[in-house]
Amino acid sequence: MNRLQLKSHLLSRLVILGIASALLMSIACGTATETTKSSTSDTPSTSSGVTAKPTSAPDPKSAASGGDKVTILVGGWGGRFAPLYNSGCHAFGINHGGFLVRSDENRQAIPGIATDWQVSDDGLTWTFTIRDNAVFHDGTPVTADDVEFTWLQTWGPGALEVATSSTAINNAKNTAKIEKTGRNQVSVTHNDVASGFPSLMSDFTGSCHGLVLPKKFWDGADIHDQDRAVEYDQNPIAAGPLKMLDLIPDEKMAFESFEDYYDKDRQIPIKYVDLFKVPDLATRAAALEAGDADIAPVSLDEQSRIEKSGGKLIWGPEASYFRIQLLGAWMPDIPFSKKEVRQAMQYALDMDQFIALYGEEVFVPKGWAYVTPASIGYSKELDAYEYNPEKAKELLAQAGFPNGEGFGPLIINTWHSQGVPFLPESAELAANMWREVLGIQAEVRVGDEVAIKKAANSSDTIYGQLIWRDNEARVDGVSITRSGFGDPSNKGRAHEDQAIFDATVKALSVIPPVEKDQALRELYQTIREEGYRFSIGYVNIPWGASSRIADWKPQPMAFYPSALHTIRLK
Amino acid sequence: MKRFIVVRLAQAALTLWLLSLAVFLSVHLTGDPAAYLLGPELGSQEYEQLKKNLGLDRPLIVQYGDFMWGLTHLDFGRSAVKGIPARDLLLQRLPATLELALSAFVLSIIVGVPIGILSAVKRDTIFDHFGKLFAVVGIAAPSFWVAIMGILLFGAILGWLPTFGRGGLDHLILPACVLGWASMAGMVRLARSSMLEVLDSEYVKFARIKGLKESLVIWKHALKNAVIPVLTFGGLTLAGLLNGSVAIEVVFAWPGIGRLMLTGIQTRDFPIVQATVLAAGFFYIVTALIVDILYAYVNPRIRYD
Repeated sequence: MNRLQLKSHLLSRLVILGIASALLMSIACGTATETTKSSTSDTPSTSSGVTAKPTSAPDPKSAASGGDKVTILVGGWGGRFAPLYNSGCHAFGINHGGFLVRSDENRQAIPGIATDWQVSDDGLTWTFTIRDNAVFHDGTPVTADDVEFTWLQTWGPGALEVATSSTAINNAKNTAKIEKTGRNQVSVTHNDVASGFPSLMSDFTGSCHGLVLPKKFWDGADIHDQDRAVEYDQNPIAAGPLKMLDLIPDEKMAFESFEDYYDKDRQIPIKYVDLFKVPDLATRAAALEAGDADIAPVSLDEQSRIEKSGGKLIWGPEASYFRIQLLGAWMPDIPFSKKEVRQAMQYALDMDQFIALYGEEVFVPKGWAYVTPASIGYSKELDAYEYNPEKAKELLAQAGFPNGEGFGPLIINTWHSQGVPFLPESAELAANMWREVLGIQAEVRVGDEVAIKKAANSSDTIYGQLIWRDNEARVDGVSITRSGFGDPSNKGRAHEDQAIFDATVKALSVIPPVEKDQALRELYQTIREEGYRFSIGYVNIPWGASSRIADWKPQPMAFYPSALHTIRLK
Repeated sequence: MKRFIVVRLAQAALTLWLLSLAVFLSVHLTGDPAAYLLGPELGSQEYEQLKKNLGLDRPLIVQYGDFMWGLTHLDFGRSAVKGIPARDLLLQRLPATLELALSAFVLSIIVGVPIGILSAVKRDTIFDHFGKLFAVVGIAAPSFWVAIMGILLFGAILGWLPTFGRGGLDHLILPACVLGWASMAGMVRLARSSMLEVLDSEYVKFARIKGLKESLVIWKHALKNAVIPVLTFGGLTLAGLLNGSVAIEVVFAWPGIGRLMLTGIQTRDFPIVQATVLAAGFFYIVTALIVDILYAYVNPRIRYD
């Protein structure tokens, strides 16, 4: 090939490459804002149906500058709306979905879409009465048919085999019958007493099982049709105080305050709310400082910068708690099968050191595991053990491990958590205290959360080890207590003490609120005394608020944006 | 050349298959989405049921066979966490990745190459020192740190640019510059050293002796040979950029493939991980092939027969 031919070859290939690049650029730039909400001619809608208008993602600079819009940043969200599939819908579902039961500012249950709920004398059948004035965001009324449909989809026949929500699986197994029992009443009959059922139907659990789906959306499709469920995720019509305007998957949700929301006292006073997914903490803080966002979870390190820009920190109380799991504690050859060892480990922990690590506004050494001051069944007797190194040494010696001799290595598994900052550091602090006070050779291994959970739930390979973890706080600990202390078949159970199994089953079957609180109080004190699982306390979450926010009162036990109706702008 | 292309395509297919096997095994052996999806109040029975519902209770060989069959029609399966076909998720994220990657690439060429050439031509002058400093900082500074500093300076303190997200041109500037800086730095170094080598060659000296203008010597005669290694580097850089920079996408909340891959790994969402990793492998292989072909045309001394 001569020089001229070569030039011609090269030129033609460069032209092709140039055209290809231009095409790629046009794809990229032409779809700068991808919206998955589409005008749904094949989905049910009314005259005020929610339809999607492809919009460009609003400039965050202008998003927060208007008087009628608030921009909230969160670290992440699950992304599925139907309870059968969702693994946690806190960030958006709590404000977007219409729940049968809601909670007030103190996390006490109040009527939601259900005005009333009753249980049968045998405790197996719950009946909910549906209000007449709740409507979906497309204007259609919420009826008992919608509630029945939602329950059937989530726990009815066939749900067990398709659910990807573990809560749905758990409830499907315990559901015997679902039926509409009146014009505005729906009942569910369980196989075993489910005293925590009203809590499950409320907005204070992250599983969003209490929200109501529009039955009409599934007309013409199987109740468990996966494609229809995905369509719903792209165009979720709900009945909560926020109506969705735009959804860019994994990026942004834009809402409008729903003017037909039935509870005028809890209507959100801000016309528009934009929710963005911003995983990085430093970016969220910078966005607050720049005025690109109004509310975002931050850390204490950002406090001075936020305050310099005219903003402030607002505390979300009791957001997450520490949970220390001793795996395989019933195996006789494992040191912490002995109660003295379990108690010694707790007496050896100095809470002042944890307070020094976190700051006293963040860490509070109260409560036992998931039972924090706002929980049902809390009492002061559940608070962390008082630091007593001498007693700790004495108990360990009584157990046959004086100064840690013969104890063997103690592996502490933990991970970096979004919920509780410095989780590995707190585990290391505990390991240091156990080494110094008890002489135990404790080693912290920071690993992957999923891998550790899998090992804990599916095998005995890490029996004898410990998991130092966090979890979101909860009002009603019935289901988690049943799993850890009332289910002998659960590989991740805490013990094998028949007396505790029996006490747990008995306490969890108490339904009337006052008696339930008392029964759980006694049970939790017993479990704490045994020490199979223990805790050091809980953390409050610092929310950064920009200079535009005059006031906001997040609910306790909410590590997500809650109580948006209390936001006041300057 | 045709034989060369056919052989490379066959190699590409084998490489992608080995990659899919490696990813499949490594992700499946370190956890599963059921462990991620399992709530804290639930135990082994719910875990086993979840695994069954997600098809994870089947033997690995069966799951792999299913996956390979799906690959034949570009079906990577449904995301375990989102329920959406993994291919659709990948295509949803592709425009954002293309936008960022191509912008960063173009910046790295139009900024990096001229600085490198200038640095070589004006050797040991202030231009050269600037070029070298630019390159060293670009290579040494971690991109996530540069990203955060950029956000703080241009977003929070000066208020010139948005601090996060994807949108108009102003959203693109900072992430593209940060992402492109490391590539620019590489381009500067490579263009400089390549140009220095070429400027020292006999034919350039001869061109100068002939009395040609210096600009003609540099831009017509020297550049063509100096750009050959830059071409190779540029191709691999583009492939790397197309795979999405996880750090940049996380810091800027840019909804690209890198973040999708990270989320997939964290949640053990196998279809997502497999789709994104295979896409990454595909980008590399195709880009390397294009670079090799272009190389042959640019440099007539190269023959693949």
